[in-house]
Amino acid sequence: MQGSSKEQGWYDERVEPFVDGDLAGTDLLAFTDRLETDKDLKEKVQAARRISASLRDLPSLTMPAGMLERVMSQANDVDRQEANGRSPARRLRLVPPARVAWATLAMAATIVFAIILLPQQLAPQESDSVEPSQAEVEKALAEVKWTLALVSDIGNERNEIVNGRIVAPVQKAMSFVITADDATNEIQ
Amino acid sequence: MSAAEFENMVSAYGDRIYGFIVYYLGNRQEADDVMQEVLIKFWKRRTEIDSERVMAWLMTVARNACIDEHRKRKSRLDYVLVDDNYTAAYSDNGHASTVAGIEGNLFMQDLMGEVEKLEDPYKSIVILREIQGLKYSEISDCLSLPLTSVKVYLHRARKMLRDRITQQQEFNHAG
Repeated sequence: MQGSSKEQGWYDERVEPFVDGDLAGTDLLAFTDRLETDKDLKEKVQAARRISASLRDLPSLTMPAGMLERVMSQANDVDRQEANGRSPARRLRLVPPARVAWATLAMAATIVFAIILLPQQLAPQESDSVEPSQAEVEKALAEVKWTLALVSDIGNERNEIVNGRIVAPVQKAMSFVITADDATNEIQ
Repeated sequence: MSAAEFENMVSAYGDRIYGFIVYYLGNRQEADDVMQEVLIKFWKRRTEIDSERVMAWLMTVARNACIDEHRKRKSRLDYVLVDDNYTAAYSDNGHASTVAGIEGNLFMQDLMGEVEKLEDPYKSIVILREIQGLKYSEISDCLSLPLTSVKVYLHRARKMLRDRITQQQEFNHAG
């Protein structure tokens, strides 16, 4: 190929665009002019055309016979497995998922605690505030205990362990109440 | 998408996808496994795929599966360069016994060996455009590449092939 290596590189880069008919304007004119006198460039164009033609002559391939049938049979298996993987209750949505029930119960217990006992616990030192009577404390305590017992019973029934993350705050609150209760008894 | 619609889609695009996989992997047995895997994925996701883009979706999944298969091969160290069933597809030109036929077959073997060695996206673009004759816009859609990039990559890929084949032929002649 004639000319400097930079010049040669310029023509070399444009061989494939020329073969594809993507060269235009002054680039096309320069390339075709050079092609008339440059034997190396001509050979490169021929090589590019041969490669392109050889690839285009490759046969179109067809899927093997029976492939679709095999896939359909596997697809049916996939569907069957997916159907078996779901419990009837979940599929029909006749009962809510167990974890929703747990979360609701734990939330209820926390709310009971917050409404009834928390205000009393937050102001235990104020001597001038109205102290709850022993009967009120016992009643609130009993409500929390019953709620926890209910959560525990449902857990036993379902043979599932109650999620600690949900019950922990309630348990913590309970121990706090019990400690406060004991302290009150000691004072009395 | 019903089972009948699924079968229609596979009939419409299956051969093209299968051809892509065979030319990408250069091995029919592996291509059969990958094709089956692609179609099962298609079945599982059939309700989520836009019916206008089924071809592009299938081609993307097929290409990713081919790239994975290539990676597995490299890690297995049992890289199969030449598969007889595959080379037969392009070698059987009816002139195998003539000098031109033998020379043509050697050229094709060198060429396909070099296509095999191309990295992606060069390889995918060469197969889709040169072998399978897809439009630039279709390739752009399948590979999620801008149209201009597809053209640039194609020219670069073919220049790589030309340089390597020329070197190979010079080496053969010198030998």
